[in-house]
Amino acid sequence: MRQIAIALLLLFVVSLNALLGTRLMVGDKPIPPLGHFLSPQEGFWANALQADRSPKERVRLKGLGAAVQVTTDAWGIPHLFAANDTDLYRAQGYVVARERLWQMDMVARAAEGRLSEVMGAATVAYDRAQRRKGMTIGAQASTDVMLADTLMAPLLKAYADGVDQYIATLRYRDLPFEYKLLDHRPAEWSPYRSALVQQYMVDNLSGWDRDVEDTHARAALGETLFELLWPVRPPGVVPTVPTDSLWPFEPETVPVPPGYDPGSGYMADAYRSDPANGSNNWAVHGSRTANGRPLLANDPHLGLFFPSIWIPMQLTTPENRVFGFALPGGPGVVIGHNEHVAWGVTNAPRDTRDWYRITWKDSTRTAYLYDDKWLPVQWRVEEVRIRGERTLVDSIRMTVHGPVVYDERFGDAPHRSQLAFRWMGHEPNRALKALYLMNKARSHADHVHAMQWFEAPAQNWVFASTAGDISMRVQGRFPNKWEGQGRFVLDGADPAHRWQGFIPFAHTATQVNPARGFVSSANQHSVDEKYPYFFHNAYLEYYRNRTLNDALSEDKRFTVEDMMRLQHSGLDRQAAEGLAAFLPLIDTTTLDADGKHVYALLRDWDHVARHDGEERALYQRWRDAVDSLLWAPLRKVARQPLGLPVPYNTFRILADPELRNTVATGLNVDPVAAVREAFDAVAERRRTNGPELWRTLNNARVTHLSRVPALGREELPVDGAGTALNAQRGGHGPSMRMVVELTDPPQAWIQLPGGVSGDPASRHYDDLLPGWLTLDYIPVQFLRDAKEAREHGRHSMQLVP
Amino acid sequence: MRSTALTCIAILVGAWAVGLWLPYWSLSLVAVLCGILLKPGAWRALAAGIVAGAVLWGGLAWQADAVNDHILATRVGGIFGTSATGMVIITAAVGALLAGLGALLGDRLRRW
Repeated sequence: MRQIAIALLLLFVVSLNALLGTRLMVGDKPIPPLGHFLSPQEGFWANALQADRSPKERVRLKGLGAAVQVTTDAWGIPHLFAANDTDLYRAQGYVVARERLWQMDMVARAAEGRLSEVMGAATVAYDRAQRRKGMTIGAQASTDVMLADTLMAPLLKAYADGVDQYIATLRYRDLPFEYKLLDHRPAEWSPYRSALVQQYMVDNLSGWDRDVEDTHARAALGETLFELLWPVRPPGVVPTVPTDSLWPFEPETVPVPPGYDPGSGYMADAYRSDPANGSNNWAVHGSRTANGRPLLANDPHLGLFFPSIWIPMQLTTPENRVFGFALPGGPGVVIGHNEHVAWGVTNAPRDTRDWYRITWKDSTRTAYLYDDKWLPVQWRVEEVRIRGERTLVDSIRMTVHGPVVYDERFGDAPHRSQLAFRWMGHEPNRALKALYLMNKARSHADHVHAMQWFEAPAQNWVFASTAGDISMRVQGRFPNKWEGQGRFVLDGADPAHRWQGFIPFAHTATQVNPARGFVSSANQHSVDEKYPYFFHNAYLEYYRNRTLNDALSEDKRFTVEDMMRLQHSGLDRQAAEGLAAFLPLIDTTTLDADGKHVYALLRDWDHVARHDGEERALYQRWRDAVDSLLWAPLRKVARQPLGLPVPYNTFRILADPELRNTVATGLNVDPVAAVREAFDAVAERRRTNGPELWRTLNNARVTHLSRVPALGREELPVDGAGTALNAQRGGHGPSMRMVVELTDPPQAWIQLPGGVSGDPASRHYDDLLPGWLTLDYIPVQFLRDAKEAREHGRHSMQLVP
Repeated sequence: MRSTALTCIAILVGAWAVGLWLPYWSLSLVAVLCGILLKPGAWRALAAGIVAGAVLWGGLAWQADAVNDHILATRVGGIFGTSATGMVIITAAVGALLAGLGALLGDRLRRW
């Protein structure tokens, strides 16, 4: 009896220990192995204990030619001093991994479609979509060209080696907090994974189109109504690079094939990026600034996350000194300045994704028609490993155009037509080389030279130099399309429908030292109709760019503070123009007292999206209700969702009685009644629920990448909106801010919605967030050399061979 | 009483030292060994283990939390629906459970 009791106790103690070593699922929430996680000597407490680093460290980094000094300042920003580029990038890999290992690991996993290895069944569809749209095709092609490049290969390998040497030092107790929380291990780094991080950005910034919706919409509505609702270039848009004079080149023409019927009944792309991933950037010529030096500003708008998307750092060798924002996982800095030049980027939206209708030979769908021949499909087999489940083997049909993303196995009904996917993201991309050369550029000519390799994602590059030049380039590698090519589903059987070539580098839309004294971009149409190549994208920005241009056209000499105030401007031109279209359609004599009050609030508003005011929330609710009522017929004319016209175009139609009539007849809807009904709904809502603050509706927030709410921040007090320069829309907004004055050497001021460290135990995890909410910018310490760094730094680490 | 205190201190010191190298289950292991070798008796073993586990894990957690200005434990507390102090208490409780049952088991195994 006693033995049985003891045996049971033994069994219980062993089981308890085993249980505490196991990751459990409670509902869909994973619980980390609590024994490991809670143990003060190895669990999360060890991260708490190690959060503050000792002020002086000496760490061995094999492969270095000479010692590298890493000094961090009061904000935790690392400043690296190395003897040469290879040492520098090896050290950068080590230092970035130390701050952001989990983040870079997860971003590379997300790009590659390997999240399910960590997250389990919940992310399987996402992983399959990533592989099916060809993320790894592009990343592999990019890796191959970069590793064949004698300049880049050693640098990328050194960076990866720096990361891996950091990973090699990690016992369980040293792992970054998130690995313990989600119970997994870091994957080894490699140049391929750096390419995956780049690929992630390509997808983030060019992963959107509405070819299928437009195909269905045109079929359902007819040419005239379709072109009214979704025009390529509505009147009144202002391009990034206006045509100042004749373009100094003879465009390369492509043959236009005869008309065709793109058909219908397709699966719309269900895994698209946010089309509003955008940004602001501009530069003001020295002739228009208070100090006579050029000013340059940039704030990229992306999903806001902890850890911050960017990591600010200084990279120094005896030949070059650059400060800027790096992407964890990629060598060098993406945006920044060196001793001679400064640069920044915004997304340059352009349609580089096309869908080709496939004509199958028979129901097995193993051969397809192309150029009057039946070609066999190639199979791409992907193994998706899933935590806690059996590996899923996915077979993807490959055609001459690209992968068939949606088929009977994934996302589509078996009987439907199928489409092959062609995307710039499948092409080899040497953007990392362009960035490397840009880090070292000394002049505008060097900038242009570097841009030869900047292929994707297409960006508006703003540039300024201490020599006084400013410029804007719409840089990327663009397919040279015939007028209208790729707006609708293309014919996959017709070779003439393939991309016929690329716009030559020398024909890039660019503007250097324009007479107006500034250059600017905010994701609008890149060019006007005089640019001799077809330009199209289904989503473009219509408001920030004009707010910006108006401000920069003011007759004054600009200061650094002016630039900062512009970046924080909550003035919302979309609301102004939306209300200018809506308000006149309301017959105020028929409003009750509450209605009159709401009307007056919106009429008298100055269109600044204040977080503690209700006007922007009222406008948002009104606009959403108008969209929903006015465009309700679009949900009935086709079996597939057609999406909505952009607000700019909706306002244009509402403001013009003739266009209103066309829509009223074409869609059998009363636009004026829709605006009124929407207004009444908003007034009624306010009567019932009371005033709603913009802060609550917008919910400006920064979310942890793991989506664990306790690691993020919500309802931040931000005066802004997606269409204001301070482009805060929910969990999306300015992912950093930078203003550079091109003094000698340049001086930069920066902000970050988070912090340098990715460690939730560190004070540098979110210590920059309060400043980001205000006009407090950090003046960058652009340190001359290691000696000066030792005098200014808070913490110093020697990496020794 | 003396054997309770001795067992308690032995577990405390032993588990701390072994814990520098081995994972959480070393706490149970050390407690079992102390229960076998020091012969405290069932209730004393249990009491000594509970106190030692709570003091060791709770104390180390409390120290880490203080050094870190409660930054991480507050965030983890947010995940578990409690505070930084709550996390220290939970940690102490798990330590108490592991060491208490371990010491009791050690004492019993001796009487197999």
